[in-house]
Amino acid sequence: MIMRMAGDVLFFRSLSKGTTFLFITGWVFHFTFLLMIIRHLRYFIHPVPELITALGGAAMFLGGVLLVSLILLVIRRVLEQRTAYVTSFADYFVLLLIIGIVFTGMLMRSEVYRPDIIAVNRFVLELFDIKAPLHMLGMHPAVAPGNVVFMCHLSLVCFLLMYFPFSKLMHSAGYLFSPTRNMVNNPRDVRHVNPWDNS
Amino acid sequence: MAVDKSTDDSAQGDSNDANTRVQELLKFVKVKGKPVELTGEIKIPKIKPNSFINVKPQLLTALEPLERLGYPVNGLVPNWKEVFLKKMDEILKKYRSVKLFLDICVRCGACTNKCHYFIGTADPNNMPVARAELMRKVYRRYFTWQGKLFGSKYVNGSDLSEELLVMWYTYFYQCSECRRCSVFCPYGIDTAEITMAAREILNSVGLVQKYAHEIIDKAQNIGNNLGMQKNAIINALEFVQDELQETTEIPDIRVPIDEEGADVLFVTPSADFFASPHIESLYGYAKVFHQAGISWTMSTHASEGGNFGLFIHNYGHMKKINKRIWEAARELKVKRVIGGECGHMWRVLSSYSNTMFGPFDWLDSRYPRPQHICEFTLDLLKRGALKIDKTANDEFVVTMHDSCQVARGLEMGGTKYGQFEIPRGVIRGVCNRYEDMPENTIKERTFCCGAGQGLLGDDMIATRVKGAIPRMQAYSYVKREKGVNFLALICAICKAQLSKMFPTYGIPMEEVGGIHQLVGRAIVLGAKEGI
Repeated sequence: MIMRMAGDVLFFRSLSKGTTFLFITGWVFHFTFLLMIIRHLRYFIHPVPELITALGGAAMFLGGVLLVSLILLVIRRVLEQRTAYVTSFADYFVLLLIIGIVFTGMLMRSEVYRPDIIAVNRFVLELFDIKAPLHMLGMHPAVAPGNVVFMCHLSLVCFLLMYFPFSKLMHSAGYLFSPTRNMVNNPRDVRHVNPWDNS
Repeated sequence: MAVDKSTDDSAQGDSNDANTRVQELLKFVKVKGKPVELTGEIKIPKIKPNSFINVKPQLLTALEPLERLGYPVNGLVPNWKEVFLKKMDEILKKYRSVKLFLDICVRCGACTNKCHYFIGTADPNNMPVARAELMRKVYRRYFTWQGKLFGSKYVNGSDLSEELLVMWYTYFYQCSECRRCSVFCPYGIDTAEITMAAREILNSVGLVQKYAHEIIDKAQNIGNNLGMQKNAIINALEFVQDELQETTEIPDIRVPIDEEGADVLFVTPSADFFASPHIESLYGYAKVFHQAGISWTMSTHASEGGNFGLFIHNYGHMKKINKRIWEAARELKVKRVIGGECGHMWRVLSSYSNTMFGPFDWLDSRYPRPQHICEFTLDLLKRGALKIDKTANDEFVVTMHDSCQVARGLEMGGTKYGQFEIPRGVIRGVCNRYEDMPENTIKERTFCCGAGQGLLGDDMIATRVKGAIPRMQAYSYVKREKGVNFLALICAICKAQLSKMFPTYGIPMEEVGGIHQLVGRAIVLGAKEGI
């Protein structure tokens, strides 16, 4: 059971059986997105672990791959007739939102839009400080670096996090409860009586 | 989750109108399904919206069966919206699976080209995700707080309407609950569960499909799907016995009925008693039991293996039908229960029996669970307890169609992938030449025969013809490439469906048969060696 779920979560085992294109782009997207999140931990953890520093070198490349995979996913939704038929606005919306985040994130790597990285770091740490809510109440909020691109990036991320629990993005948590996945295959050896079965 | 009060205001006043309208929309029209040319290739069609929207099965209108089943008798009930949502709420609370499957779909599209009905009809509502979306729309509107607060428009939901009911009735009866889509779904969403739930909701408001529910009624109250009374069963089986004794010239080969103290209670679909090619397998079973020297019996009380109760989320029906088997097993004091060739029967018997009526500690401790006849036969073959003359089947190059409910049910015989390997083992044990169909059409990825789970009625002939396309293409491929000329089956529904579809597609009907038909041909009776 654990193996089955791990295979599905880490390598999209079921998806690989059917739809190769979606499997590859989908997996690349999820994987690079995960790496990006790990990379961003450098703003929250001190000292920065070596693994994260090591990721830094490939960050631009990974970002590029991430962006391409996202764009491919959007194109697929538009062009593949069958998928387009079932796609609703919410599906595009999430994809575009993440594209926005990745795009602004990559923009900040260029010299023109680069924010003061130390200020950013201080800002984030201040936000996550245990006393942050108190500072807010006391009308002394953390001072944000004055960089438009950074503000866009951060707002979009905040919006994504707010939207997350109400959207289809909950599939990440929902998966863990999927009965065809998380149940052990033993109804013939162990008796599971239906709690509502009174007949 | 409370029922939204604002929705049932209008329902009260124009109740009769709603019923008339729905009845008008659901009026049965006979549609002919045109077979396609067999190229051996399974092509994914371009979508054609609403191409199969007119194909609906007949409604059950007879009063007595409806009363016995506990469903409304006068068509759509006046306050149907209320009843609908109450039932849906009940099912969502009872079945975690349904609720979750409604929640976690991301519409990734992996399942869109996996359904045999979609491949056959090109109707986009036959894509598993779109089919489930019919229910999700209602779910989002009435069972999520966003939907309750903002209305259907903002959650991509749908208000209840007569048109929606008709859509449900149309497309949830164009799903054969074969679960092929769930194999490919990254979240393991099982559309069969959703279809079952939808059918029970439709039943509760008074839209009951005729074919499946007539059978559920007969199986519960008479004991078998065909509605044969006790003496009719005895007659039929005696005829089988006479026939066997005549053809084999062995006077003591028997088809025992209701014999107390036999070792084995054998249950099989009642179609096996006389339908063709089913009956050939019954000859096969009898020969195997005879040759193995194991005392067995059939029961007139549990004269049916099939359990159509599985096809709708009404646990009571399934339980009542299954109960007969265990009543008969106790009454006849048998030591083991063996099931014949049938798809969903095997799934209910092996996977659900323990949950419903277990534990079976009163059976022989070596066989504490129901067995499949293929397990039994393969075991005998391996021990050399049957004398086999494989050359009797030399005229055949055999391939096997994995029945959906067996292939995607629990494993058989306690070995992983036993449900694929055991039937194949039996075929290889009695035939010299065996070829598999292409990998993406067999084993866990097997296609449905196109008529499973309550769609076998003659009123559904259009869906049946279209749904059989992938299997027919795969078969014609191996027929052309490898000279295959026999399709072995282990399911009564597959046998009934494909023996009708083969002639429709221009292939002789004789090329369809059960696995035990082959066993019956190859077995050498009389000579008992090697035990």
